[in-house]
Formats: sequence, C-alpha cells, structure tokens
Amino acid sequence: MNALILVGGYGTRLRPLTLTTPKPLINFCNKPILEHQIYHLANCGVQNIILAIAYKPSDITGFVKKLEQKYNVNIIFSIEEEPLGTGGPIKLAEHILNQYENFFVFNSDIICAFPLLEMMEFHKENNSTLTMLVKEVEDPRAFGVVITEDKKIIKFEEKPKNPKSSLINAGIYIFNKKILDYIPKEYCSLEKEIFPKVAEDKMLYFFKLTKFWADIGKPLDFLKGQALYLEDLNEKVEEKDEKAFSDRLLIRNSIVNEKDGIGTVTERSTSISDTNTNLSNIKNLFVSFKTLEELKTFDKDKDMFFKQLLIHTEIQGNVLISSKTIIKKNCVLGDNVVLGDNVIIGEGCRIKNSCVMNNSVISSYAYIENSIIGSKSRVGNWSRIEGMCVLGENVILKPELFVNNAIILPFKEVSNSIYDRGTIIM
Amino acid sequence: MLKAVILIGGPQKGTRFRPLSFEVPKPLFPVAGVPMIQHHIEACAQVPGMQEILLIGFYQPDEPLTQFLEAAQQEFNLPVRYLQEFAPLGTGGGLYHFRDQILAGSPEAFFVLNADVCSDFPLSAMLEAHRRQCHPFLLLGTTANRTQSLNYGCIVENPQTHEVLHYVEKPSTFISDIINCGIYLFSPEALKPLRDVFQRNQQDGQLEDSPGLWPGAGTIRLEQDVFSALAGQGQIYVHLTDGIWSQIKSAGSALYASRLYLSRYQDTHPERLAKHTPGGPRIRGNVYIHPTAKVAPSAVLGPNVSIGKGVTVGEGVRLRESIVLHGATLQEHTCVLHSIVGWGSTVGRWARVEGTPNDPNPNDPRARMDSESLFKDGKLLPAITILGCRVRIPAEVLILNSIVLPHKELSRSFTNQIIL
Repeated sequence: MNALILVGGYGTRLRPLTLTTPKPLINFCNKPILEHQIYHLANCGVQNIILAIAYKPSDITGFVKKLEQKYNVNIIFSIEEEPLGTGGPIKLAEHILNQYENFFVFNSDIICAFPLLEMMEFHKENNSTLTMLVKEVEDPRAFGVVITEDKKIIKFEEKPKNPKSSLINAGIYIFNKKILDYIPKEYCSLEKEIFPKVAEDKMLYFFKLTKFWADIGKPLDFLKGQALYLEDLNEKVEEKDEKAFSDRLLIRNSIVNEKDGIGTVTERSTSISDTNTNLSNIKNLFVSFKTLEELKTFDKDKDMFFKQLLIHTEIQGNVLISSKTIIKKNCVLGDNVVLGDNVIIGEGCRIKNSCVMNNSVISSYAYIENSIIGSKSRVGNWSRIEGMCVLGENVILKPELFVNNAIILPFKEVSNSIYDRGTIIM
Repeated sequence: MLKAVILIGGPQKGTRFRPLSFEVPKPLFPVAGVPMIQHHIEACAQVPGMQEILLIGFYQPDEPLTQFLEAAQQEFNLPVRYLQEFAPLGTGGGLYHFRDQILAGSPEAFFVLNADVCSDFPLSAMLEAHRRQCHPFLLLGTTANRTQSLNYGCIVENPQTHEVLHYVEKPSTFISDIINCGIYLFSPEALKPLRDVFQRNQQDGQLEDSPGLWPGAGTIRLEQDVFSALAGQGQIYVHLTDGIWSQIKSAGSALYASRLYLSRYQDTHPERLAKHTPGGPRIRGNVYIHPTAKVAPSAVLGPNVSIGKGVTVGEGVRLRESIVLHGATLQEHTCVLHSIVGWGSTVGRWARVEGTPNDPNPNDPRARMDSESLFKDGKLLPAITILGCRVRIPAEVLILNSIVLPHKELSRSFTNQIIL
C-alpha cells in the first residue's frame, strides 16, 4: 500500500521555529515530525510514501534519504508548482497512488496513536471508498466537525460556530483509488469540496480514534501534544509494549511511589502491573537514542546512569531526555518536559511543561514554564521564561531576565526583560 | 591613490531590518531604486584617484552578492572585491584582519563607510580636509537635536581645530549635538592603534561567563575600542557636513532614506526620476519606476515612491511614500501608503495597505530618526507596514501598521500586528 503526506508549504503557524528549519525536520519528542509518521507507515507495511510539498525540497532531501534507509521505504517528492490546496496534490500523484486499491493520506501536523492496521481492516471490511479517522474533542469549533449515522459520516462542517457534534476530522484518511476520479487537476480543497460530496453519496466512513491525538501545527498545541504523547508512552505497560519502546529507540525508567511514600526505582514495566499501581503515581524518565546500537550500549550501564542522575535530579510526571543531554545537579524537571540532544541544563533549574531543543544551553537557576526553546539557544542564569514563550533558533538571553509570553525570532540577542504579554521580538 | 572599504556586516546583524532581511542581505536592499551600497560605490567612484573598493563582512558569498559585485565592477570600471570575515569581527576587526589588502599598493588614505547609512557622501570635501592636515582618523559628523543625539555616537570637538576631544557611543545623557555619520577617512597610520587594540583584546581573552556576550578575541569595535579610547590625543578629527544623512537600521528608515536619495536625484541622476508622459500614470513629486515595471495610466504615484523590476501596478492604484519590490503586483484600485510591499507579493483589489511614518520632523533640519523599538508597553508602536516576500493580501481588506512575514496568505484585515 502507498501513502501521501500533505507536507504543504512553509509551516508559518509554527514560526519562529520554522523560520530556520523546515517543518518536517522540527523535533517533536526528540524525533523529527516527519519521522514519527514514516515510522508508523513503515510499521504497517507501506512501501512508497509521497511527500506533497509546495517548495523546493533541497533542505530536506538529505534527511529524507536517511529515513528511506532507516525504515526501508521509498520516499518520493511531489512538488506543487502552484497552490493546489489539500486535494490537488493527491491528484498530482495519482499515477503512484493508483498502484494499489487503497492508499493513506496524512495531514503532516498530526501526531497520534496511528491505529493504521485496525483502520485498514475496518476500511476493507466495509468496502469503504473513503475512511476518515475521527476523534472526540471537548471544543470542536476550530476543526472539521463530522456528523455521523451508523458507520458513516452524513455531514461535514468546517470550523462551525455551533457544532452539532464533538467528533472531528483527525487528518488521517484511507482513500480507495476510485476517489481519484472525484478530484480535479487543479486547486481543490478536500474539506470543502471532496468530503461533503463523498458524504452526500454516502460513501464516507469514519473510524474512531480512542487513544491520543494532537495537531501540533501551533506552539500551544505542540506542547499539549507533547504531554499527550508522553502520557501515551506512560500507559504502555503491557509486556508486548516493551518492544514499542526499543522500536522507538527509547529506554524507560519508571519511578513508582509506594504507599508509604518511599520512592522505588523499578526497571521493568511488568512489575508495575504486578503491584497494581495507579498510573498517576508513576514518574517516568524516558531516554531517547538515535540508533539501536547506541540503545544497546546504554542498556548495559543504564542502572548506573539512572542512579547517578536521580540522586540529585527530581523528576515530576513525564520527562523525556536524549542520551546526550547533560543535566547538572539540583534540578527539578517535569511534568511534560522534553530535552533534546546535547542540551545542557545548568544547576538548580526548574523546567515544566516545556521543550528545549537540540544544542541549547540553559544556564543555572533558570525557571522555564510553558515554553519552547529553539535549538542552539542560550538562556542566561536566573532567567524566568513563562507564559507560552517560543524562542527561535540561536536566541541568546542575557542573565536575570524575565520573559513573559513572547515570541523571539532566530538569532536575536535579548538584553532586556519582556514584561508585557504578546510581544514579538524581531 | 585612494581606496574605499564598505563594512557590510552579516546575517546575524541587522535583525531590526526583518522581515526584509530574510530575503536579501540588508546592504543590497533597494533604496530609491538601487541597492543600498550602490549609492556608496557611486560616490566612491567619483573621487579622482579611487583605485579599488573593498567590501568587508561575514555574509556567505551567495547569488545576490556575487551578481551585485559583477554588475558593479562592470558599471563603474573599478575593481570591487568582497572580503569575507571568518567570524563577526566587529566594526574594526575586519579592517585590521584585512590590513594587508587594504594597504596593498600604498594608498594615500582609505575611506571606510558603513553600509547602513544614507548620505550625499561628501568624500572630496573630506579628502581636502585630510590633505590640509593629515591625521590618522577623520570622521564625518553631522548634527542632531539634543534628545535624538543619544541614539548615536556623540562627538565633542574643538571648534577651532576640529579635533575630537571626546567620543561616546549612545550616551545616557546629553553630551554633544554632533553625531558620527559612520563615514570615515583613515590614513595608513590608523592601523597602528587598531593593532594595539587587537593585541590588548587577545590578552584579555574571554570572560568566564557566556561566550557571545562579550567581544571575543579578534573583534574590534571602532566606536568603543578606538574612537572613545583615542579621543583627545590628537589622532581623531571630525569634518562636519549639513548634507542629507540618515542611518538605515529598520524598514522605516529605509523608506526615509529612499525619500532623501530621490530628492537628490534631481541633481545627481535626473534620468532616474519618472516624468509624466501622455498615456502614462500621473506622477507627483519624486518617483522611481524601473523600466520593466508596468504601470496603468490611471494610477497616481508619489511622492516618494520606488517601483522595482517587473512590478505590475493596476488601474486606479494610489501609491504614496512607499517602496514596491521586484515582481510584486498591486491590483486595481488598491491604496498603498507608507508601506513596503515585498518581492513577489500580491495586493488584492480595493485593499488598503497603510503604515504610519516615523520620519524625523521635517521642520527641524537637525532631526534624525528616533531609536526604533517596535513595542512599547506591550503594544506594537504604529510604524510603516511591511509585507515580506510573496505575501498575498486578499481583496477589500485593510492592513494597517502591521508587519507580515514572508509567504503568508492573509484572509482578513489586520491592524497593529506582527503576523508570523
């Protein structure tokens, strides 16, 4: 089976991160966004993956070649010369997509539990022409809302003010190649033109996603998605999910709070289910790796590593670090913290609900909350960064500054505090 | 024989020129129709005895820069070479690093010009002053009013001898109303003090704190390390001018500089100013239109308008105090005021794209651009509207006092915002 990922254009919603890095390469939980999707597609046997992009891919070709080798897939670029919307690119690649009966279409901003095999089974069982993954959400007004009857979608509303249902379009689809006839060879919107028509013809099925889902196209949603992803990792407690970790090149170290309040370091997830522990008592430190070899080497000494780290570092909730992250003493990290490759966290830092990307340095005694620190940045001593800040690549913050709800563009050096919310530093 | 050095900086500098600096290095941004530093090169080429022009900076020598150099060499029949610093070396570090190239051929003196200034470049007058009394450093100075002088390098001079007695870069209280134009004439002796500073910086090494917050080894800041340090020792002198001058740090000041240069074209390049022709658009004031631009006859342009290569201006368009960059399209009946429309952008029909000028008070001949911070009290200060490269503005909307980053397609009106 083949797949198409709608990578699209310049990822302007994720600026300032995307000002210096193409969106597919931006790390989400220490793995490039594109790699998350390729991993799941490769895992269910997809051989050819088409990236529909609206710009010249020279920045990502090297990275894509590595992905091809790592996951043993073919990745093909389909370049839109002029804007084709969400539907046009599918028609553009039809000569590859009609190779098999059905094909996947992914929206590139989606990270979720990807129940691809189950979705495929459902699609085939019901002889569906178009199956859409849907998700129940609390506030559906910003999304494409679906109204269902039985197994089908009967109506499709894009961003309604008064939504009539709380099920939304999750951005993952399986198309039967017949749909290619519906799509014109020009600018075409799936949401506005194709889906309503297929729903009318009663050929649009839905498959409900019960596990986590996130659209990480904007910084706020990026951090929310990060929390959901880490929580999902936390829930993988069955034996077979051990493979889910090494497959993703992760080693998990869980710390369980026993009833008498003493923390115990446990290594295997099976013992957690043995003691019938409430999942909310578990604190997780996940470590990510680039290759299986690195993971296996680390695995031998992991007890020593965790012991040394956890003597002077407190973990709260879920924290993901890279094997190459350096954390100095007396830090408190978490809940929902991701630290990238070669990140250095100085002494006594407090980081929560945030992400620090590769090669950045957080100097001592800093407080970072609800923020994304772009790669290669340097945050000075005693900084306080809070309120949904996004720092682009290579931003330098001098010591002792307070930065509140600010967006700082790449390569800026900031020497004054930013007290007022909503500031954009160009 | 003489030489000239133009300091063009690099991509890490000039962040105040964003989003325009995302597309093109700031020194190549078109001001009054031609790249910023072309005005410098034109002025240098007119000085008798000018042998060579050197550009020093740390941009990578990519397409736009190399093309510009080739074109400049052909047009001015002078060698124009780019010397790339291996790392940002400060305003003086590059001069010291490339001293051999600068002094090759034993020039009598060499001009040093900052790329981001707009001026009438009174280079011959400076040369005369230098020949009357030869000193290592001659600075071009102009006047500013009391409050604004604090944003610039301030010079205290001896009114009789014109020696610089005191130099402070961006002082915190008023020192002098004479400011540094960023245009200098150095004699070869100037390199000795630069060498002393360089060696002293090497010895001091880097502070233990964070690298990048203090100048590293090899960097020399002309203003602080040389001018401030040597003031009052008989080495630095100033030549005053009252010709046009402005610093070009932000997009707003580029628009102001464009106005200054366009007004000078009356004398220096009258062929660059558009004139009303039958069947052509109505022209008010000083307007530059690139020969390949298509402008509808019912459009009204000016004053202070620059229209770049391949631009399309539709019927009934009103364009005033603005710069329209290469390949942009203004559809019918749009109104563009106090704005910069980026390369390849499109402005839909009946849209109004408007900014607020922050120009110096025209009634005060000594008024200069204010220090231009974008925000105050958390609100975006009204300033000129900037559309980045390939921005699409739909029909019938209002874009007021906003900055739109490249490749954005807007779907509604915006006021006082930066749209990422």
